[in-house]
Amino acid sequence: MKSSEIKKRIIGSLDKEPDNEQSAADMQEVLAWDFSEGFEERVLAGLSNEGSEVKHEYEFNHNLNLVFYRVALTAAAAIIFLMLSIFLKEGSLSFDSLLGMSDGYSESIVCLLTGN
Amino acid sequence: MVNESHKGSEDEVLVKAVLNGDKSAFSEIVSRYRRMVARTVKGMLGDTVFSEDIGQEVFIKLYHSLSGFRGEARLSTYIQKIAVNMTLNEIKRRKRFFSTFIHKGNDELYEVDIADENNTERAETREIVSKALMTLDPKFRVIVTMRMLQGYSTKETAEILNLPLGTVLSRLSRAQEQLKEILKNYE
Repeated sequence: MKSSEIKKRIIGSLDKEPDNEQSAADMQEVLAWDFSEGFEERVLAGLSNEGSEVKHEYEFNHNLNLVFYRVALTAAAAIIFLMLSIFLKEGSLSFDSLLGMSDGYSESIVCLLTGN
Repeated sequence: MVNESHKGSEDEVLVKAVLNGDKSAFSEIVSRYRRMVARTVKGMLGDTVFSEDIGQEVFIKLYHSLSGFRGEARLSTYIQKIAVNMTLNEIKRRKRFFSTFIHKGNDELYEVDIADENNTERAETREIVSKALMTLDPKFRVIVTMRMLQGYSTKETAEILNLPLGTVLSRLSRAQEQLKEILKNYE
């Protein structure tokens, strides 16, 4: 059937409640839509990749957590060690001793900063 | 990849085989319904490379949701519902994207490949009908796709889209009027 005739039939079918089979056949003849060659293989490949993607994501998260715990534990140990050494050296854990200024006088600090 | 032994098997048999881990049975389901899904996705999104991706996602989602398929409806209806929902979501996503970044307010991303068509008249008709479909508002486009392209009855369309029968009829009537106007301009 000529394409122009199909187009006329499509337009004609728009005047009334469409006849399911006829209008579908006309539209399908004109449009003839399908996916490209090898579609099934791509879907199955997508399913396989999806499985490995989930596995990769799980492994990545697991490794990231492990690294985070190690870094966090090391940092916590360093902080405890630092505070202990300050306490042993200064005899207290005041804010000044944490900043390393426990035995300095404010006048000498001003002199240091201003150069006078 | 399609196992010849599955050719002609009932849908229920294929579904059971897939649930038992037989991927070739799933390949047969894809092969059986790919055109139906293509009509829905391309009817609503246009003939683009994105439609191909959505088509793949439809079947991947089907694979994961097959265990929830109880066989109360036909497998084709079940697949059709997934295809319609995913395509409508994609249209919404595109609208958000365009309104946020481009301010175009339209989802005209379709491209009609007519280069390899031998029959130029047919290619022209195809382009005109595709463009006319894409001009419709998505809520009308989906009704036209179901009723006129897939050949579902008004009742089946209402079931698939989860809409009242009256809404389907009124939208169909308005979509037909709009389509007629658009197509007549090309005559």
